[in-house]
Amino acid sequence: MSLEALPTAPSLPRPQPQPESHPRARLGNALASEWTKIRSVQSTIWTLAAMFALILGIGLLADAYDDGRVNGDAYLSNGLGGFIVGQIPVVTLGVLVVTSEYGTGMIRTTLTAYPRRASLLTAKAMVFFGLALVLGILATGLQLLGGMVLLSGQGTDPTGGQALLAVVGGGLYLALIGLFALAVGTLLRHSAGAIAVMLGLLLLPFILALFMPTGPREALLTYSPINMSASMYSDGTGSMGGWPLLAVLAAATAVVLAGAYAALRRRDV
Amino acid sequence: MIEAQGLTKRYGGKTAVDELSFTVRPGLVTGFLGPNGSGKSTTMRLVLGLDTPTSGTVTVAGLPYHQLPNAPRTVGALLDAKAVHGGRSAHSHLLCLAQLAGLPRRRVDEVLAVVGLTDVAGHRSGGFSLGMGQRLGIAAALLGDPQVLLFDEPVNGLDPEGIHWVRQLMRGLAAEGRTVFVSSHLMSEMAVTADHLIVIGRGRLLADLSTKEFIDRHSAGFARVRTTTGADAVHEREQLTGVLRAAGAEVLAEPDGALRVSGLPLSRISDLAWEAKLRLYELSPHQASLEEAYMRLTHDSVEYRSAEDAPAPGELAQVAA
Repeated sequence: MSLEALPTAPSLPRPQPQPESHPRARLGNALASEWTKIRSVQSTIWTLAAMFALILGIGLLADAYDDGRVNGDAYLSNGLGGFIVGQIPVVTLGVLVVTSEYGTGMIRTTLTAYPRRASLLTAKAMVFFGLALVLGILATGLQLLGGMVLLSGQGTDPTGGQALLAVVGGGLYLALIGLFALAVGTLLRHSAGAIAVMLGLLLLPFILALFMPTGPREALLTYSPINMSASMYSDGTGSMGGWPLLAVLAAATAVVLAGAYAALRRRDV
Repeated sequence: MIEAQGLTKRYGGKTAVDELSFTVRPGLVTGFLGPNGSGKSTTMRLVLGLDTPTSGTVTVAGLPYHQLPNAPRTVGALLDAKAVHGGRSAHSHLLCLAQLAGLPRRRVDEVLAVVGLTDVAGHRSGGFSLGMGQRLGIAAALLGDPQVLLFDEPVNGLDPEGIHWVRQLMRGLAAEGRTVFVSSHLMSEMAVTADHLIVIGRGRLLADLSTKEFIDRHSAGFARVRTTTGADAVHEREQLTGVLRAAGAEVLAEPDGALRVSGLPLSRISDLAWEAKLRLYELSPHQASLEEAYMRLTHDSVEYRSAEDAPAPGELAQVAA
Protein backbone atom coordinates (compact mmCIF):
# COMPACT_ATOMS: atom_id res chain seq x y z
CA MET A 1 0.00 0.00 0.00
CA SER A 2 1.63 3.23 -1.05
CA LEU A 3 1.81 6.26 1.14
CA GLU A 4 0.58 8.45 -1.73
CA ALA A 5 -2.82 6.85 -1.36
CA LEU A 6 -3.22 8.23 2.15
CA PRO A 7 -5.29 11.34 2.55
CA THR A 8 -3.44 14.44 3.55
CA ALA A 9 -4.39 15.42 7.06
CA PRO A 10 -6.20 18.76 7.22
CA SER A 11 -4.05 21.55 8.57
CA LEU A 12 -6.32 22.98 11.24
CA PRO A 13 -9.42 21.29 12.60
CA ARG A 14 -12.33 23.65 12.97
CA PRO A 15 -13.42 24.36 16.51
CA GLN A 16 -16.40 22.24 17.44
CA PRO A 17 -19.57 24.15 18.20
CA GLN A 18 -20.86 23.60 21.72
CA PRO A 19 -23.72 21.11 21.87
CA GLU A 20 -25.67 23.66 23.93
CA SER A 21 -26.08 25.79 20.82
CA HIS A 22 -28.59 23.30 19.39
CA PRO A 23 -32.27 23.49 20.25
CA ARG A 24 -33.02 20.77 22.78
CA ALA A 25 -35.06 17.85 21.41
CA ARG A 26 -38.45 17.75 23.13
CA LEU A 27 -41.49 15.51 23.40
CA GLY A 28 -43.09 17.54 20.59
CA ASN A 29 -40.33 16.39 18.22
CA ALA A 30 -40.92 12.77 19.18
CA LEU A 31 -44.70 13.18 18.74
CA ALA A 32 -44.24 14.56 15.21
CA SER A 33 -41.83 11.72 14.42
CA GLU A 34 -44.12 8.99 15.77
CA TRP A 35 -47.05 10.44 13.83
CA THR A 36 -44.95 10.23 10.64
CA LYS A 37 -43.99 6.66 11.53
CA ILE A 38 -47.47 5.37 12.25
CA ARG A 39 -49.00 6.77 9.08
CA SER A 40 -46.18 5.71 6.79
CA VAL A 41 -46.52 1.93 7.16
CA GLN A 42 -49.04 -0.40 5.63
CA SER A 43 -49.78 -2.25 8.88
CA THR A 44 -51.52 0.84 10.29
CA ILE A 45 -53.80 1.10 7.28
CA TRP A 46 -54.64 -2.62 7.28
CA THR A 47 -55.28 -3.00 10.99
CA LEU A 48 -57.45 0.11 11.22
CA ALA A 49 -59.34 -0.84 8.06
CA ALA A 50 -59.93 -4.28 9.58
CA MET A 51 -61.23 -2.69 12.79
CA PHE A 52 -63.72 -0.59 10.80
CA ALA A 53 -64.76 -3.52 8.64
CA LEU A 54 -65.39 -5.77 11.66
CA ILE A 55 -67.15 -3.25 13.94
CA LEU A 56 -69.23 -1.61 11.24
CA GLY A 57 -69.69 -4.65 9.02
CA ILE A 58 -70.76 -7.19 11.63
CA GLY A 59 -72.80 -4.60 13.55
CA LEU A 60 -74.72 -3.43 10.51
CA LEU A 61 -75.25 -7.03 9.33
CA ALA A 62 -76.84 -7.81 12.69
CA ASP A 63 -79.01 -4.71 12.35
CA ALA A 64 -80.04 -5.70 8.85
CA TYR A 65 -80.91 -9.20 10.05
CA ASP A 66 -83.04 -7.70 12.86
CA ASP A 67 -84.93 -5.48 10.42
CA GLY A 68 -88.61 -6.27 11.00
CA ARG A 69 -88.13 -8.57 14.02
CA VAL A 70 -86.99 -6.24 16.80
CA ASN A 71 -90.18 -6.62 18.91
CA GLY A 72 -89.58 -3.54 21.01
CA ASP A 73 -86.19 -4.70 22.41
CA ALA A 74 -83.19 -2.42 22.53
CA TYR A 75 -81.02 -3.08 19.49
CA LEU A 76 -77.96 -1.46 20.99
CA SER A 77 -76.35 -4.86 21.74
CA ASN A 78 -76.25 -5.66 18.00
CA GLY A 79 -72.88 -3.89 17.98
CA LEU A 80 -71.29 -6.24 20.52
CA GLY A 81 -70.21 -9.09 18.21
CA GLY A 82 -68.31 -6.81 15.85
CA PHE A 83 -66.85 -4.90 18.79
CA ILE A 84 -65.39 -8.06 20.36
CA VAL A 85 -63.59 -9.19 17.21
CA GLY A 86 -62.86 -5.61 16.12
CA GLN A 87 -60.48 -5.14 19.05
CA ILE A 88 -58.12 -7.83 17.72
CA PRO A 89 -56.69 -5.62 14.93
CA VAL A 90 -56.44 -2.70 17.38
CA VAL A 91 -54.40 -4.87 19.75
CA THR A 92 -52.25 -6.01 16.81
CA LEU A 93 -51.50 -2.40 15.85
CA GLY A 94 -50.67 -1.52 19.46
CA VAL A 95 -48.15 -4.34 19.62
CA LEU A 96 -46.64 -3.51 16.21
CA VAL A 97 -46.08 0.17 17.06
CA VAL A 98 -43.22 -1.02 19.26
CA THR A 99 -42.27 -4.53 18.13
CA SER A 100 -41.91 -3.63 14.44
CA GLU A 101 -39.03 -1.39 15.53
CA TYR A 102 -37.34 -4.28 17.32
CA GLY A 103 -38.05 -6.74 14.52
CA THR A 104 -36.47 -4.50 11.89
CA GLY A 105 -33.66 -3.01 14.00
CA MET A 106 -35.19 0.46 13.53
CA ILE A 107 -35.20 0.85 17.33
CA ARG A 108 -31.41 1.33 17.30
CA THR A 109 -31.72 4.09 14.72
CA THR A 110 -34.55 5.70 16.68
CA LEU A 111 -32.81 5.60 20.05
CA THR A 112 -29.57 6.88 18.53
CA ALA A 113 -31.46 9.87 17.17
CA TYR A 114 -33.48 10.31 20.38
CA PRO A 115 -31.79 8.77 23.42
CA ARG A 116 -34.47 9.90 25.89
CA ARG A 117 -36.21 6.56 26.08
CA ALA A 118 -39.06 7.37 28.47
CA SER A 119 -40.00 10.38 26.39
CA LEU A 120 -39.95 8.23 23.25
CA LEU A 121 -42.32 5.67 24.78
CA THR A 122 -44.61 8.51 25.91
CA ALA A 123 -44.70 9.81 22.34
CA LYS A 124 -45.51 6.36 20.95
CA ALA A 125 -48.23 5.83 23.56
CA MET A 126 -49.82 9.25 23.00
CA VAL A 127 -49.84 8.99 19.20
CA PHE A 128 -51.28 5.48 19.24
CA PHE A 129 -53.82 6.22 21.99
CA GLY A 130 -55.03 9.35 20.23
CA LEU A 131 -55.38 7.63 16.87
CA ALA A 132 -57.12 4.57 18.33
CA LEU A 133 -59.48 6.71 20.43
CA VAL A 134 -60.58 8.95 17.55
CA LEU A 135 -61.03 6.12 15.06
CA GLY A 136 -62.55 3.84 17.71
CA ILE A 137 -65.19 6.44 18.59
CA LEU A 138 -65.80 6.98 14.89
CA ALA A 139 -66.34 3.24 14.30
CA THR A 140 -68.61 2.63 17.30
CA GLY A 141 -70.48 5.88 16.62
CA LEU A 142 -71.11 5.08 12.97
CA GLN A 143 -72.21 1.57 13.90
CA LEU A 144 -74.79 2.88 16.39
CA LEU A 145 -75.95 5.59 14.01
CA GLY A 146 -76.38 3.01 11.24
CA GLY A 147 -78.49 0.86 13.54
CA MET A 148 -80.68 3.79 14.54
CA VAL A 149 -81.28 4.63 10.87
CA LEU A 150 -81.87 1.03 9.74
CA LEU A 151 -84.17 0.13 12.64
CA SER A 152 -85.77 3.53 13.29
CA GLY A 153 -89.11 3.20 15.03
CA GLN A 154 -88.79 -0.56 15.41
CA GLY A 155 -87.21 -0.87 18.84
CA THR A 156 -86.31 1.07 21.91
CA ASP A 157 -83.73 3.77 21.16
CA PRO A 158 -80.80 3.72 23.62
CA THR A 159 -80.82 6.40 26.28
CA GLY A 160 -78.25 9.16 26.14
CA GLY A 161 -76.20 7.46 28.85
CA GLN A 162 -76.26 4.09 27.05
CA ALA A 163 -75.27 5.68 23.77
CA LEU A 164 -72.42 7.61 25.43
CA LEU A 165 -71.08 4.42 27.03
CA ALA A 166 -71.35 2.43 23.79
CA VAL A 167 -69.71 5.13 21.64
CA VAL A 168 -67.24 7.06 23.82
CA GLY A 169 -66.78 4.23 26.32
CA GLY A 170 -66.32 1.78 23.44
CA GLY A 171 -63.73 4.04 21.83
CA LEU A 172 -61.93 4.42 25.17
CA TYR A 173 -61.96 0.66 25.66
CA LEU A 174 -60.37 0.09 22.23
CA ALA A 175 -57.68 2.72 22.85
CA LEU A 176 -56.93 1.34 26.33
CA ILE A 177 -56.72 -2.32 25.31
CA GLY A 178 -54.48 -1.23 22.40
CA LEU A 179 -52.27 0.75 24.79
CA PHE A 180 -52.10 -2.32 27.05
CA ALA A 181 -50.89 -4.26 23.98
CA LEU A 182 -48.31 -1.54 23.21
CA ALA A 183 -46.92 -1.95 26.73
CA VAL A 184 -46.86 -5.75 26.38
CA GLY A 185 -45.03 -5.30 23.05
CA THR A 186 -42.45 -3.08 24.76
CA LEU A 187 -41.90 -5.72 27.44
CA LEU A 188 -41.64 -8.67 25.03
CA ARG A 189 -40.02 -6.89 22.00
CA HIS A 190 -41.34 -9.61 19.73
CA SER A 191 -44.39 -9.25 17.45
CA ALA A 192 -45.69 -12.80 17.34
CA GLY A 193 -45.07 -13.39 21.04
CA ALA A 194 -46.77 -10.19 22.14
CA ILE A 195 -49.79 -10.74 19.85
CA ALA A 196 -50.15 -14.30 21.16
CA VAL A 197 -50.05 -13.06 24.76
CA MET A 198 -52.68 -10.43 23.99
CA LEU A 199 -55.00 -12.94 22.30
CA GLY A 200 -54.61 -15.16 25.35
CA LEU A 201 -55.49 -12.28 27.68
CA LEU A 202 -58.51 -11.38 25.57
CA LEU A 203 -59.98 -14.86 25.28
CA LEU A 204 -58.64 -17.13 28.02
CA PRO A 205 -60.26 -15.61 31.17
CA PHE A 206 -63.72 -16.07 29.64
CA ILE A 207 -63.01 -19.66 28.56
CA LEU A 208 -61.25 -20.64 31.80
CA ALA A 209 -64.16 -19.27 33.83
CA LEU A 210 -66.39 -21.99 32.40
CA PHE A 211 -64.33 -24.63 34.19
CA MET A 212 -64.03 -22.84 37.53
CA PRO A 213 -66.00 -23.13 40.74
CA THR A 214 -68.42 -20.30 41.41
CA GLY A 215 -66.15 -17.85 43.27
CA PRO A 216 -63.23 -17.56 40.81
CA ARG A 217 -65.68 -17.89 37.94
CA GLU A 218 -67.48 -14.69 38.91
CA ALA A 219 -64.22 -12.75 39.21
CA LEU A 220 -62.79 -14.11 35.96
CA LEU A 221 -66.01 -13.40 34.10
CA THR A 222 -66.39 -9.89 35.52
CA TYR A 223 -62.87 -8.76 34.66
CA SER A 224 -62.52 -10.67 31.40
CA PRO A 225 -62.03 -8.36 28.42
CA ILE A 226 -65.04 -9.97 26.75
CA ASN A 227 -67.26 -9.00 29.68
CA MET A 228 -65.71 -5.54 29.71
CA SER A 229 -66.63 -5.26 26.04
CA ALA A 230 -70.16 -6.50 26.74
CA SER A 231 -70.51 -3.94 29.53
CA MET A 232 -70.14 -1.15 26.97
CA TYR A 233 -73.35 -2.36 25.31
CA SER A 234 -75.37 -3.84 28.18
CA ASP A 235 -75.16 -4.60 31.89
CA GLY A 236 -72.82 -7.55 31.45
CA THR A 237 -71.95 -10.03 34.19
CA GLY A 238 -71.35 -8.93 37.75
CA SER A 239 -72.40 -5.82 39.55
CA MET A 240 -69.91 -3.41 38.01
CA GLY A 241 -71.09 -1.16 35.24
CA GLY A 242 -69.28 -0.15 32.08
CA TRP A 243 -67.53 2.98 33.36
CA PRO A 244 -66.08 1.36 36.53
CA LEU A 245 -64.81 -1.54 34.41
CA LEU A 246 -63.12 0.98 32.10
CA ALA A 247 -61.40 2.41 35.17
CA VAL A 248 -60.19 -1.09 36.05
CA LEU A 249 -58.81 -1.52 32.53
CA ALA A 250 -57.13 1.90 32.73
CA ALA A 251 -55.49 0.92 36.05
CA ALA A 252 -54.27 -2.42 34.64
CA THR A 253 -52.90 -0.62 31.57
CA ALA A 254 -51.09 1.89 33.79
CA VAL A 255 -49.40 -0.95 35.70
CA VAL A 256 -48.18 -2.76 32.56
CA LEU A 257 -47.11 0.55 31.02
CA ALA A 258 -45.08 1.38 34.14
CA GLY A 259 -43.32 -1.97 33.69
CA ALA A 260 -42.67 -1.11 30.05
CA TYR A 261 -41.07 2.22 31.02
CA ALA A 262 -38.84 0.50 33.57
CA ALA A 263 -37.78 -2.22 31.12
CA LEU A 264 -37.06 0.21 28.27
CA ARG A 265 -35.02 2.44 30.54
CA ARG A 266 -32.95 -0.41 31.95
CA ARG A 267 -32.34 -2.74 29.04
CA ASP A 268 -29.67 -2.71 26.34
CA VAL A 269 -31.04 -2.30 22.85
CA MET B 1 -14.28 14.05 19.90
CA ILE B 2 -15.06 10.66 21.41
CA GLU B 3 -13.38 9.69 24.68
CA ALA B 4 -13.56 6.25 26.27
CA GLN B 5 -12.13 5.59 29.72
CA GLY B 6 -11.81 2.03 31.02
CA LEU B 7 -14.85 1.02 29.02
CA THR B 8 -15.97 -2.50 29.94
CA LYS B 9 -19.01 -4.51 28.90
CA ARG B 10 -19.82 -8.01 30.11
CA TYR B 11 -22.72 -10.12 28.93
CA GLY B 12 -23.15 -12.77 31.59
CA GLY B 13 -19.71 -14.30 32.00
CA LYS B 14 -18.44 -13.16 28.61
CA THR B 15 -16.43 -9.95 28.41
CA ALA B 16 -17.13 -8.24 25.11
CA VAL B 17 -15.21 -5.03 25.81
CA ASP B 18 -12.38 -5.05 28.32
CA GLU B 19 -10.97 -1.87 29.92
CA LEU B 20 -10.91 0.01 26.64
CA SER B 21 -9.54 3.57 26.70
CA PHE B 22 -9.09 5.65 23.58
CA THR B 23 -9.67 9.10 22.13
CA VAL B 24 -11.04 9.78 18.66
CA ARG B 25 -9.94 13.22 17.56
CA PRO B 26 -11.58 15.67 15.16
CA GLY B 27 -10.18 16.35 11.69
CA LEU B 28 -9.13 12.75 11.14
CA VAL B 29 -10.63 9.53 9.90
CA THR B 30 -10.02 7.07 12.73
CA GLY B 31 -10.21 3.44 11.74
CA PHE B 32 -11.50 1.00 14.33
CA LEU B 33 -10.06 -2.39 13.44
CA GLY B 34 -10.51 -5.85 14.84
CA PRO B 35 -11.45 -9.37 13.80
CA ASN B 36 -15.10 -10.41 13.79
CA GLY B 37 -16.40 -10.67 17.35
CA SER B 38 -13.64 -8.49 18.80
CA GLY B 39 -16.08 -6.00 20.29
CA LYS B 40 -16.19 -3.27 17.64
CA SER B 41 -19.97 -3.15 17.34
CA THR B 42 -20.43 -3.42 21.11
CA THR B 43 -18.08 -0.46 21.56
CA MET B 44 -20.07 1.50 18.97
CA ARG B 45 -23.31 0.71 20.83
CA LEU B 46 -21.72 1.82 24.12
CA VAL B 47 -20.64 5.11 22.52
CA LEU B 48 -24.19 5.66 21.28
CA GLY B 49 -25.80 4.87 24.64
CA LEU B 50 -27.68 1.87 23.24
CA ASP B 51 -25.93 -0.43 25.71
CA THR B 52 -24.92 0.57 29.22
CA PRO B 53 -21.28 -0.14 30.11
CA THR B 54 -20.62 -2.56 32.99
CA SER B 55 -17.95 -0.08 34.08
CA GLY B 56 -16.05 2.84 32.63
CA THR B 57 -17.32 5.86 30.76
CA VAL B 58 -17.55 7.14 27.23
CA THR B 59 -18.39 10.67 26.16
CA VAL B 60 -19.18 12.31 22.85
CA ALA B 61 -18.38 16.01 22.52
CA GLY B 62 -17.74 15.98 26.25
CA LEU B 63 -21.09 14.54 27.31
CA PRO B 64 -22.47 11.05 27.95
CA TYR B 65 -24.64 10.24 24.94
CA HIS B 66 -28.01 10.45 26.66
CA GLN B 67 -27.16 13.93 27.96
CA LEU B 68 -26.69 15.41 24.49
CA PRO B 69 -29.43 18.03 24.13
CA ASN B 70 -30.11 17.13 20.50
CA ALA B 71 -28.19 13.99 19.55
CA PRO B 72 -28.54 14.03 15.73
CA ARG B 73 -27.13 17.57 15.56
CA THR B 74 -23.98 16.41 17.32
CA VAL B 75 -23.61 12.76 16.31
CA GLY B 76 -24.55 10.86 13.18
CA ALA B 77 -24.31 7.10 13.14
CA LEU B 78 -24.58 4.33 10.60
CA LEU B 79 -25.00 1.08 12.52
CA ASP B 80 -26.19 -1.70 10.29
CA ALA B 81 -27.82 -0.65 7.06
CA LYS B 82 -30.86 -2.78 7.79
CA ALA B 83 -31.76 -0.91 10.98
CA VAL B 84 -34.70 0.44 9.01
CA HIS B 85 -38.40 -0.46 8.81
CA GLY B 86 -38.52 -1.97 5.32
CA GLY B 87 -42.16 -1.02 4.80
CA ARG B 88 -41.45 2.68 5.06
CA SER B 89 -40.29 4.79 2.13
CA ALA B 90 -36.80 6.27 2.19
CA HIS B 91 -38.32 9.74 2.46
CA SER B 92 -40.63 8.86 5.37
CA HIS B 93 -37.79 7.08 7.16
CA LEU B 94 -35.58 10.16 6.97
CA LEU B 95 -38.50 12.48 7.75
CA CYS B 96 -39.31 10.74 11.03
CA LEU B 97 -35.63 10.97 12.01
CA ALA B 98 -35.42 14.64 10.98
CA GLN B 99 -38.48 15.42 13.08
CA LEU B 100 -36.82 13.87 16.14
CA ALA B 101 -34.15 16.56 15.87
CA GLY B 102 -36.53 19.33 14.86
CA LEU B 103 -34.92 19.57 11.44
CA PRO B 104 -36.84 21.09 8.53
CA ARG B 105 -38.41 18.84 5.90
CA ARG B 106 -36.16 20.20 3.14
CA ARG B 107 -33.13 18.75 4.94
CA VAL B 108 -34.48 15.28 4.02
CA ASP B 109 -34.38 16.15 0.32
CA GLU B 110 -30.89 17.58 0.73
CA VAL B 111 -29.40 14.42 2.24
CA LEU B 112 -31.28 12.23 -0.25
CA ALA B 113 -29.54 14.20 -3.00
CA VAL B 114 -26.14 13.89 -1.28
CA VAL B 115 -26.35 10.09 -1.24
CA GLY B 116 -28.00 9.88 -4.66
CA LEU B 117 -31.32 8.36 -3.60
CA THR B 118 -33.59 11.20 -4.79
CA ASP B 119 -35.11 9.08 -7.56
CA VAL B 120 -36.15 6.30 -5.19
CA ALA B 121 -37.17 8.53 -2.26
CA GLY B 122 -40.78 7.32 -2.45
CA HIS B 123 -39.90 3.62 -2.68
CA ARG B 124 -40.12 1.26 0.26
CA SER B 125 -36.64 0.72 1.65
CA GLY B 126 -37.30 -3.02 2.03
CA GLY B 127 -36.74 -3.36 -1.70
CA PHE B 128 -33.38 -1.61 -1.62
CA SER B 129 -30.14 -3.37 -2.47
CA LEU B 130 -27.46 -3.59 0.23
CA GLY B 131 -25.65 -0.65 -1.35
CA MET B 132 -28.78 1.50 -1.44
CA GLY B 133 -29.46 0.54 2.18
CA GLN B 134 -25.97 1.72 3.13
CA ARG B 135 -26.59 5.00 1.31
CA LEU B 136 -29.88 5.45 3.17
CA GLY B 137 -28.11 4.79 6.48
CA ILE B 138 -25.44 7.35 5.59
CA ALA B 139 -28.14 9.87 4.65
CA ALA B 140 -29.66 9.38 8.11
CA ALA B 141 -26.25 9.93 9.72
CA LEU B 142 -25.76 13.18 7.80
CA LEU B 143 -29.23 14.64 8.60
CA GLY B 144 -28.24 16.81 11.55
CA ASP B 145 -24.97 18.02 9.97
CA PRO B 146 -23.17 16.47 12.96
CA GLN B 147 -19.58 17.11 14.06
CA VAL B 148 -19.09 13.48 15.08
CA LEU B 149 -19.79 10.56 12.75
CA LEU B 150 -19.69 6.84 13.47
CA PHE B 151 -19.82 4.27 10.70
CA ASP B 152 -19.99 0.57 11.51
CA GLU B 153 -18.59 -1.42 8.55
CA PRO B 154 -19.84 1.14 5.99
CA VAL B 155 -18.40 -0.56 2.90
CA ASN B 156 -19.90 -3.97 3.63
CA GLY B 157 -21.68 -5.16 0.52
CA LEU B 158 -20.79 -2.13 -1.58
CA ASP B 159 -19.49 -2.38 -5.13
CA PRO B 160 -16.11 -0.76 -5.97
CA GLU B 161 -17.80 2.45 -7.05
CA GLY B 162 -19.72 2.58 -3.76
CA ILE B 163 -16.58 1.84 -1.73
CA HIS B 164 -14.79 4.69 -3.48
CA TRP B 165 -17.72 7.00 -2.79
CA VAL B 166 -17.83 6.16 0.94
CA ARG B 167 -14.06 6.59 1.19
CA GLN B 168 -14.21 10.05 -0.41
CA LEU B 169 -17.16 11.01 1.77
CA MET B 170 -15.40 10.05 5.00
CA ARG B 171 -12.22 11.85 4.02
CA GLY B 172 -14.22 14.91 3.02
CA LEU B 173 -16.05 14.94 6.37
CA ALA B 174 -12.76 14.68 8.25
CA ALA B 175 -11.19 17.41 6.13
CA GLU B 176 -14.04 19.68 7.25
CA GLY B 177 -12.81 19.20 10.81
CA ARG B 178 -15.32 16.56 11.86
CA THR B 179 -14.60 13.50 13.97
CA VAL B 180 -14.98 10.37 11.84
CA PHE B 181 -14.87 6.97 13.55
CA VAL B 182 -15.20 4.02 11.21
CA SER B 183 -15.06 0.34 12.07
CA SER B 184 -13.83 -2.34 9.72
CA HIS B 185 -12.29 -5.78 9.76
CA LEU B 186 -10.39 -5.05 6.55
CA MET B 187 -6.88 -3.67 7.07
CA SER B 188 -6.46 -2.97 3.36
CA GLU B 189 -9.53 -0.75 3.39
CA MET B 190 -8.43 1.18 6.47
CA ALA B 191 -4.91 1.67 5.10
CA VAL B 192 -6.28 3.86 2.34
CA THR B 193 -9.08 5.51 4.31
CA ALA B 194 -7.93 6.11 7.86
CA ASP B 195 -5.40 8.61 9.21
CA HIS B 196 -5.34 6.92 12.58
CA LEU B 197 -5.95 3.36 13.71
CA ILE B 198 -7.35 1.87 16.87
CA VAL B 199 -6.95 -1.91 16.80
CA ILE B 200 -8.74 -4.19 19.25
CA GLY B 201 -8.90 -7.93 19.78
CA ARG B 202 -11.11 -9.77 22.26
CA GLY B 203 -12.32 -6.43 23.51
CA ARG B 204 -8.85 -5.22 24.46
CA LEU B 205 -6.83 -2.40 22.94
CA LEU B 206 -3.99 -3.81 20.80
CA ALA B 207 -2.74 -0.67 19.09
CA ASP B 208 -3.53 3.04 18.93
CA LEU B 209 -1.33 4.79 16.39
CA SER B 210 -1.31 6.70 13.13
CA THR B 211 -1.74 4.74 9.93
CA LYS B 212 1.68 5.92 8.75
CA GLU B 213 3.29 4.66 11.93
CA PHE B 214 1.52 1.33 11.53
CA ILE B 215 2.77 0.98 7.98
CA ASP B 216 6.32 2.00 8.87
CA ARG B 217 6.43 -0.32 11.82
CA HIS B 218 4.77 -3.36 10.37
CA SER B 219 5.51 -3.49 6.69
CA ALA B 220 9.31 -3.65 6.78
CA GLY B 221 10.69 -4.88 3.48
CA PHE B 222 12.48 -8.18 2.95
CA ALA B 223 14.30 -9.91 0.13
CA ARG B 224 13.60 -13.29 -1.37
CA VAL B 225 16.85 -15.03 -2.17
CA ARG B 226 17.23 -18.30 -4.00
CA THR B 227 20.44 -20.17 -4.57
CA THR B 228 21.04 -22.71 -7.34
CA THR B 229 18.81 -25.74 -7.61
CA GLY B 230 21.52 -28.32 -8.30
CA ALA B 231 22.75 -31.22 -6.15
CA ASP B 232 24.46 -28.78 -3.79
CA ALA B 233 21.30 -26.74 -3.25
CA VAL B 234 20.84 -27.60 0.43
CA HIS B 235 24.48 -27.07 1.21
CA GLU B 236 24.64 -23.74 -0.63
CA ARG B 237 21.51 -22.54 1.08
CA GLU B 238 22.96 -23.30 4.50
CA GLN B 239 26.20 -21.63 3.56
CA LEU B 240 24.44 -18.47 2.42
CA THR B 241 22.26 -18.44 5.53
CA GLY B 242 25.41 -18.53 7.66
CA VAL B 243 27.07 -15.72 5.74
CA LEU B 244 24.00 -13.50 5.86
CA ARG B 245 23.38 -14.11 9.56
CA ALA B 246 27.03 -13.30 10.26
CA ALA B 247 26.42 -9.95 8.53
CA GLY B 248 23.48 -9.26 10.83
CA ALA B 249 20.52 -10.31 8.67
CA GLU B 250 17.44 -12.16 9.82
CA VAL B 251 16.98 -15.22 7.62
CA LEU B 252 13.95 -17.45 7.41
CA ALA B 253 13.61 -20.48 5.18
CA GLU B 254 10.51 -20.50 3.01
CA PRO B 255 8.74 -23.75 2.11
CA ASP B 256 9.73 -23.58 -1.57
CA GLY B 257 13.45 -23.48 -0.74
CA ALA B 258 13.90 -19.72 -1.00
CA LEU B 259 15.24 -17.59 1.86
CA ARG B 260 13.42 -14.64 3.33
CA VAL B 261 16.07 -12.11 4.32
CA SER B 262 15.44 -8.93 6.20
CA GLY B 263 17.80 -6.35 7.68
CA LEU B 264 20.19 -6.04 4.72
CA PRO B 265 19.90 -4.06 1.50
CA LEU B 266 19.71 -6.06 -1.72
CA SER B 267 23.13 -4.87 -2.91
CA ARG B 268 24.78 -6.07 0.29
CA ILE B 269 23.16 -9.52 -0.03
CA SER B 270 24.48 -9.74 -3.59
CA ASP B 271 28.00 -8.72 -2.50
CA LEU B 272 28.04 -11.26 0.32
CA ALA B 273 26.94 -14.05 -2.05
CA TRP B 274 29.62 -13.04 -4.55
CA GLU B 275 32.32 -13.07 -1.87
CA ALA B 276 31.19 -16.57 -0.79
CA LYS B 277 31.19 -17.63 -4.45
CA LEU B 278 27.53 -18.50 -4.38
CA ARG B 279 25.40 -18.08 -7.50
CA LEU B 280 21.95 -16.57 -6.96
CA TYR B 281 18.96 -17.52 -9.09
CA GLU B 282 16.70 -15.02 -7.42
CA LEU B 283 17.16 -11.80 -5.47
CA SER B 284 13.91 -9.86 -5.31
CA PRO B 285 12.61 -7.05 -3.08
CA HIS B 286 9.31 -7.59 -1.21
CA GLN B 287 7.04 -5.59 1.04
CA ALA B 288 5.21 -7.42 3.84
CA SER B 289 1.53 -6.70 3.32
CA LEU B 290 -0.34 -4.71 5.92
CA GLU B 291 -2.89 -7.48 5.99
CA GLU B 292 -0.15 -9.85 7.16
CA ALA B 293 1.05 -7.40 9.79
CA TYR B 294 -2.50 -6.90 10.99
CA MET B 295 -3.09 -10.65 11.17
CA ARG B 296 0.09 -11.11 13.18
CA LEU B 297 -1.09 -8.38 15.55
CA THR B 298 -4.54 -9.85 16.06
CA HIS B 299 -3.62 -13.51 15.68
CA ASP B 300 -3.92 -14.35 19.36
CA SER B 301 -7.25 -12.65 19.70
CA VAL B 302 -9.18 -14.17 16.83
CA GLU B 303 -12.44 -15.45 18.25
CA TYR B 304 -13.46 -17.95 15.63
CA ARG B 305 -10.45 -19.53 14.00
CA SER B 306 -10.77 -22.22 11.38
CA ALA B 307 -9.09 -25.45 12.40
CA GLU B 308 -7.05 -27.73 10.20
CA ASP B 309 -9.36 -30.50 9.09
CA ALA B 310 -6.72 -32.97 7.86
CA PRO B 311 -5.45 -35.34 10.55
CA ALA B 312 -1.72 -35.20 11.26
CA PRO B 313 0.39 -37.74 9.32
CA GLY B 314 1.14 -39.65 12.53
CA GLU B 315 -2.54 -40.18 13.16
CA LEU B 316 -3.02 -41.46 9.64
CA ALA B 317 -0.21 -43.95 10.16
CA GLN B 318 -1.84 -45.15 13.34
CA VAL B 319 -5.14 -45.64 11.57
CA ALA B 320 -3.39 -47.58 8.82
CA ALA B 321 -1.64 -49.79 11.38
